[in-house]
Amino acid sequence: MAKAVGKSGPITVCVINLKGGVGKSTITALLSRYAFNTRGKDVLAIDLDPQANLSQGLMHQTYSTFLSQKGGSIVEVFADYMPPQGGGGPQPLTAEAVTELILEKDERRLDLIPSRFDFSDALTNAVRPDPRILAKFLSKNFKSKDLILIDCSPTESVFTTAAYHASDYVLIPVKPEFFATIGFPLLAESLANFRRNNKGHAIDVAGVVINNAFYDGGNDGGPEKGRAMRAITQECANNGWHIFSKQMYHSRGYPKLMRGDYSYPGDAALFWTFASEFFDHLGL
Amino acid sequence: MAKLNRDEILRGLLQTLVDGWGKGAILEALEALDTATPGDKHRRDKHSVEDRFRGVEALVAEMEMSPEHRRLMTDLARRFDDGRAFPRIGDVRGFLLSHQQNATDLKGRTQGFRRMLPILTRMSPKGLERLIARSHHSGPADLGEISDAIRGAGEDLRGKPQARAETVEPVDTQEVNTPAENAEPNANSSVAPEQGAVPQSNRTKRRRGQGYDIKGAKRS
Ligand SMILES: Nc1ncnc2c1ncn2[C@@H]1O[C@H](COP(=O)(O)OP(=O)(O)OP(=O)(O)O)[C@@H](O)[C@H]1O
Ligand SMILES: [Mg+2]
Repeated sequence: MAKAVGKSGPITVCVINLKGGVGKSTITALLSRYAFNTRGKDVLAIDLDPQANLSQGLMHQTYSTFLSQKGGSIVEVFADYMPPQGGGGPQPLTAEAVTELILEKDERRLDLIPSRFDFSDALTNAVRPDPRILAKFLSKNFKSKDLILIDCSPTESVFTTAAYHASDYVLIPVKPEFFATIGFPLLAESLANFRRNNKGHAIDVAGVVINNAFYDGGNDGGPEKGRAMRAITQECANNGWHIFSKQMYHSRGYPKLMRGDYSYPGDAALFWTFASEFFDHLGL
Repeated sequence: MAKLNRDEILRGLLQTLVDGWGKGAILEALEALDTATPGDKHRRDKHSVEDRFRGVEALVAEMEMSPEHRRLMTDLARRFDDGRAFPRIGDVRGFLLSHQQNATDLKGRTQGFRRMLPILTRMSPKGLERLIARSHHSGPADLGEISDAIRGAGEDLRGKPQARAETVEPVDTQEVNTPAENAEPNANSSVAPEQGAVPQSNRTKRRRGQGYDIKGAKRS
């Protein structure tokens, strides 16, 4: 399903499921690092969730410094200017002002546009933000990146639309449990809606990744997982969504990695098997 | 004459040690006490013993690099030597692992700095500057620190009345503490990671205290 990479600019993927806690932030954080470290890509990660789990997962302890120093964030991207910093009035928005450097090697970087807990709050008084503003900002400032990954909030809003506007692909994590497929029709509808209103925009579902984020039933299942997997397979077939063959195992290593605790990765160390399949699939 | 209590005695002894060896060396020796098994002492490689003695600043001094890099690398090395940057071996390990470098067999901070060098030298001056500014952090992310920062930012926000509309609910504790709810309840416990874990699926999904409240958007 490879699109032309290179001159045309980065491949942009938003990680989304209108169901919460399925591993969106974990996957976005680990895919960005994998793309940078293993695939040698120049990467931008974007946190579109006011809960800022992706920001914390990539910045770890420095996130608190960022908060207290009032660094630039996704809030300013949607506001479309930098607020006055004591003299000079409002400043034009620049890529540098709203990105945090996570990893760097030679000329390549893993950058992050972090979120703040007051993200939606800061915009509450504003008129409804333009959902195209993120796409415009990315196209102006990040053409040289190879990959952009967007972590979405599970709540549908103008920011979900903003993520769609900016994306070539959608990646859908799902937990194989009873309520797993409930988010699917919502998401399918939300995508269909977007396509109806934006006929010129080709946005594809890159696929669905099974995340065994629970402990009960273990990684190889049991009847509950079997039932859930049948429902997932059926829904995906109905929607024409690909399911990645490599799954994410349940592992205590995932929450640890997100906190910056590298003492015990456990089966989270096997994340690369999915990551590798995913990037091969995208042709990156 | 007032009697010294145990804390004061300990502090006095430590001060003597720090005065003599420097904070970095003492921290490292303490870490080694923690992790070393009896056989380890003999297996320590020659490098790390020498390096620890000279400090990593000397390592940097021997390398070739641009003046700009030298200034920054020396600054970082100095902070490393006196324990202000990457204070614990775990911080060095974290840096290496986040760059997908092997760090499981790491025996000391100084040995770790040697492995950090190839990564550091490929960073830009700007990147190094940022790293230095944040290198005093230690250990995995601490929710306490994040909550404090959020609370501080929240107070700033509440302090500016024009920042909130009447239709918006006041920031309540639920909202202020939201990111803390994502805390891993027993990430610090000694429970074997893959075995005695708390079932994730049994945790009720947290309430989103703060849905998007922009006109037309849903509030969960
Ligand atoms: N495979 C896994 N094994 C164990 N724990 C996992 C796994 N995947 C995710 N988790 C944990 O489950 C929780 C939710 O994951 P995460 O925050 O990535 O989900 P999310 O979809 O981004 O959630 P939200 O909808 O709140 O944004 C986190 O504590 C994470 O560490
Ligand atoms: Mg999330």
